[in-house]
Amino acid sequence: MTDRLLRLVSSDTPSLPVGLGRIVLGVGGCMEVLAAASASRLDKVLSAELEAPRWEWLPRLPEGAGGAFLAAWFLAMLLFTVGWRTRVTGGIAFAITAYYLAMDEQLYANHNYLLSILLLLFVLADPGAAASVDAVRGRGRPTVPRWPVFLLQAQLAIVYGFAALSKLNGDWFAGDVLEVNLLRIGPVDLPSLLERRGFYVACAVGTVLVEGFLAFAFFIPRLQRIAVVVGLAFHAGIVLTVDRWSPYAAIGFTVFALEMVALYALCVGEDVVAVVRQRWPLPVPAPS
Amino acid sequence: MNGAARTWALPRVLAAAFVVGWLAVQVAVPLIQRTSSEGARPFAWQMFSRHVDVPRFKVVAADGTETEVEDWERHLGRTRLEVNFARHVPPFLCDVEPGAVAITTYRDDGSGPVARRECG
Repeated sequence: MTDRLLRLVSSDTPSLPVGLGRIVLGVGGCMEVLAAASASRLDKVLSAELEAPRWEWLPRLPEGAGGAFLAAWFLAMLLFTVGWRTRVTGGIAFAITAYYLAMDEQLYANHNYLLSILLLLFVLADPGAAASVDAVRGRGRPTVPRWPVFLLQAQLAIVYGFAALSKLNGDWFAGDVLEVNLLRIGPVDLPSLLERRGFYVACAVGTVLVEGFLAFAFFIPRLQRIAVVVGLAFHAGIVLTVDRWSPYAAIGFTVFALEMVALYALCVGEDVVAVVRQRWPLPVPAPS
Repeated sequence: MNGAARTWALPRVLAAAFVVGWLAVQVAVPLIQRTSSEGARPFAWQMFSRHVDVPRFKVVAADGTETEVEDWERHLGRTRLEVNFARHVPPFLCDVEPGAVAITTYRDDGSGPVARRECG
């Protein structure tokens, strides 16, 4: 075990998958900030009568400072996405995201929590080493440390694994949760023919099986491509069929999907490197 | 990298400690949230996994009578089920409900009370 740990913290991995993952994560983060701004989410919480601080000792952002806070958040996310001094801009984006989550429990969302975790781990993985402004300007590297990439890959298994585990309950398998949350309006309306208990139960069972499959399939080479297809279809299905009580909820599901796709890029890294190098000459330094 | 270069230098010790600690936290927190908490708990990847009960709150007057607060959610800036309502709502109601000597917390189905907070 100790030898394997030493090997993990001593080895490197190709930088291009990390760079591609950074771009996908950054796009998701930018979307989240824009959605928060257009929904006036932060202003509503800051001006609410009922405050729900996660920690009482943490200073609260003054009412009226929401706009500047969101502008700084967006700028950091944007610079991280294009790959400009990513350890600094990503670090700032992480700090702002973490503070946003910590300031008030009303601002919590699982995809924001995931965004903060991924930003931190990507920063540790030197995400600007490839497919970045920094790489174009000669500050790229062909490889990055392996251990933060391992933690990012592990995060994929943790998220899907606990998502499946949390659904092992009567409410879920009875179809009650899906009956409430499946779309009834819009372009992908659930046909009335399918509004049956059996359909919801089948979807509930299928969801647990898919999440359970995705929790391990990315780590078995011959299942990786299937996992990518299943995962993309799964997240597209969520975005298209979950009841949109507001457009911001759909954006939230899209951001969550992008965060997971950023992790897919790391799990199928070698394939991504081969395909991308073949089709698009992205700025990544060749191994010396 | 050759074998001689694989030694436990300080940066590698720190990296290894971070890896082990990070994984421990990422596994332990959802497990603890799953086994010890009611409702939709944060940091546990419980997205849309079950029906979430929202507590009910009653104002206790000086004569001991209790009156349920029907619309306390309107004071929120944003309704998220991950908010620990039982922690945050009673002290708030103590401040805004005239004549309240205590706030009692009941379960979603009306059973309880499960908690009582004295005002003042």
